[in-house]
Amino acid sequence: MSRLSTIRPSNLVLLAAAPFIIYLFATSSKYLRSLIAILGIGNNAGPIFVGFLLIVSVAILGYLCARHARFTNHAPGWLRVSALAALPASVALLVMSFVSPQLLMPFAESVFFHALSENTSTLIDRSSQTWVLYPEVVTQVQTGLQVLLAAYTAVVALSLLSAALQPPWRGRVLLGLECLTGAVLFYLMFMAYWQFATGVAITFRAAIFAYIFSAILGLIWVGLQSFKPRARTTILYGSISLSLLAISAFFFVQPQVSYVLVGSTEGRIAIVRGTPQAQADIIRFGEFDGAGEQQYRIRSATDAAAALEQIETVDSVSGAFVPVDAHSQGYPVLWQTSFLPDKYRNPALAFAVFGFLLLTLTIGGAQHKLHPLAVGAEFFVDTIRGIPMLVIILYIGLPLAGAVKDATGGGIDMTNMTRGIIAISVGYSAYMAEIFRSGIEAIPKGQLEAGSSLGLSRWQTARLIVLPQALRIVTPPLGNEFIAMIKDTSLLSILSVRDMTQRMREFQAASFLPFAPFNTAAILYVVLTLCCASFLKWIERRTAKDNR
Amino acid sequence: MFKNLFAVATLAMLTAPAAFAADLEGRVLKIGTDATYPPMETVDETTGEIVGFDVDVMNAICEKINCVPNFVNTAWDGIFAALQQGEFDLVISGVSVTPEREETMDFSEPYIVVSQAILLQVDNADMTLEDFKAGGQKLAAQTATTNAQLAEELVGRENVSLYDNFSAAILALQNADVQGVIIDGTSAAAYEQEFAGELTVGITGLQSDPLGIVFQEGDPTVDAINAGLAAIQEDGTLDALKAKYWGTN
Repeated sequence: MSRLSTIRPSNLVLLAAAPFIIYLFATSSKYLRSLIAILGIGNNAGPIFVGFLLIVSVAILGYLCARHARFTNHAPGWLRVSALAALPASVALLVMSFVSPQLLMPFAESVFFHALSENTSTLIDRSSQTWVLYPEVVTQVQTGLQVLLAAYTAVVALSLLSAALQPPWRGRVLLGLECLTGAVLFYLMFMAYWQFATGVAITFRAAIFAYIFSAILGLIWVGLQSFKPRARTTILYGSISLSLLAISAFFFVQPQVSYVLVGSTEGRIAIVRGTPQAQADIIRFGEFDGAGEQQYRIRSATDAAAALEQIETVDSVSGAFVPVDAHSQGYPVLWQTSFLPDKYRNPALAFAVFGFLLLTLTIGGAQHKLHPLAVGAEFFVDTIRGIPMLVIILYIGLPLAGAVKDATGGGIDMTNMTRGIIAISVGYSAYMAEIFRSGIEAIPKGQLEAGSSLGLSRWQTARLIVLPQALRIVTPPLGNEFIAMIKDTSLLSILSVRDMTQRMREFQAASFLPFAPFNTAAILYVVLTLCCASFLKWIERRTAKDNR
Repeated sequence: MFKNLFAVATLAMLTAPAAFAADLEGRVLKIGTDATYPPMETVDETTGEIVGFDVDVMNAICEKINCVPNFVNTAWDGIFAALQQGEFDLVISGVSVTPEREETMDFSEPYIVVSQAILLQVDNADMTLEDFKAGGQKLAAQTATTNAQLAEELVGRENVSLYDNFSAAILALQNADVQGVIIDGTSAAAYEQEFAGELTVGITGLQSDPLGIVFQEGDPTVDAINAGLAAIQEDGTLDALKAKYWGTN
């Protein structure tokens, strides 16, 4: 009863409504179907969920066991019990993977399958409509699972034994074990593919990751804003920006390449891959000398030889835009041009933009006696706050991620989910920065002076006096941001991330049901946000207790 | 890997005679689609797979030219931006071929021609286009579609309410916030059937739109797809699919 009285009133309302909601879902097929669609319950969800539950509960016990080893002396009773249960549980799981692998394999298979790159992987059998792993790959996954479980059992055994270790090594080994088991748990909860509830997993994970990243970014902006200019700051940053501009100029004077437009413009014009977009556009929109007042159709070719060959072999192609030294003799030259190739032009532009920006910040900073980076951070916060989240997501998710992919030669190819998380983090970091700043500025100046008169360094003052108080002030608005972020993940559907909202739209369109999907999604979002709000309240109460 | 396949595909088309025999050599095509548009494409509730006329057409084409379709569901808002960034190899999503879109994207030959229609509330079943043109009556459509363009042409921007998806537009019609929803004729029938006794297809035979498969400007894959399209047209597969979705029409 005392436990019941500590429940937050708003949660109490939800708890009281819960029987009705459950009744609604259980008795109405409309609601049950919406729930299944919006949660993203996939094929074969039942067996996968069973495997997940088994594995995740062992992972939790393993983590608690490693944690218990670090705090042996002050461990509460429940922690002790779970530590002792960890080894038998992981041994049981290992035995199960040999005796009845069919319990764990659906989950392991689904996680492995979705970790592959689905368009290029050679491990996937694409011969039928539903793609599956080849049988021999499944056998390998099973062996892999058994090896992993054996290793995990060894880790748990090691955590139990580590209590006997002596001090110089003890601390590090224990910390290492806790990090390792923690990482396993983190992977299962936040990275592994949950086929039994994809929709809710996407929404929840996107919000959590975006929240963490945006808080870190926000702290960076606040940190930058607190930079104070020194005597030489202007000279230093001025010379950095001038040298950036000089590098840009160096790239701009590199030798240009010459291209010719040959053939005729009656049909399409073949463009060699790697031709700068700007040149292709000149041809497409008929902006070259001698063009008629019309647009031309273009077509891609892998290289110059292929482009010239296309004039002969492909009916619709009549012209080509190729380097001047390709053997284009025999075709009439319509237009000749020379331009800076992309490998020089892109760095030239990038250095020019950064150099110019830094120069502006330095001049602005010098005028107002501010550090250029502080001015930059403020500029960033002001601009980002002014751009709608949808635009930020589109911009970062498509052109910027594409540019990163090109610049690294395909090395960094982020998934759409990652792109979306980065975009939301960048967007929200501006709000976060303002929240942190308000918290820090709320601490009276007198306390800083008191700190320094006690002989504390600037860092010590910040760590011991300012941050603990500021953190308490900013906790409620930070919680607010989290709840806003959970809902803004719905914008990720434009990057083909199928979160709860996108699934709701799909279900609505397929079933023609107007309100059941709406209500279900609303209930799910409320449950999610109330859980988070309660968690934040709990943190607030705990920090308040610490500081009393 | 991808580049090699691409080269092989291009080469195959260069060496092959222009018609047929196009072969993408089992290449996986990443296909963008906004699966909220029955009966062109929707997500099947029970299996979670994307199904519909467009999907069947694409599967039939791929059977002819040896490619593997991989449908990716995405919101309409970002679909063409993603195509131009190379996130998708092609988009099939009931996309109308328009001169404006042709300037920035390449289209296959049209695979079906649909006329647009206006859904009305049953009570107003006898409303005509003139009633809308006379003013005061609002039309709803999905943002950034040819339906929206036509709606604007018919009644002017201030009498058009644009919604993110059709479901929202239909809700607005049921609410009587708008008096009509402009929609492709192919989908209108599906909606009328679902909301029998409430909504009706009152005005039909508006501007016809050919639907095409969309590619990045200059992508040579369009030739292979056109060849596949011609093949399924020739052997009657396409007609069979049309009959499957729209009965005798």
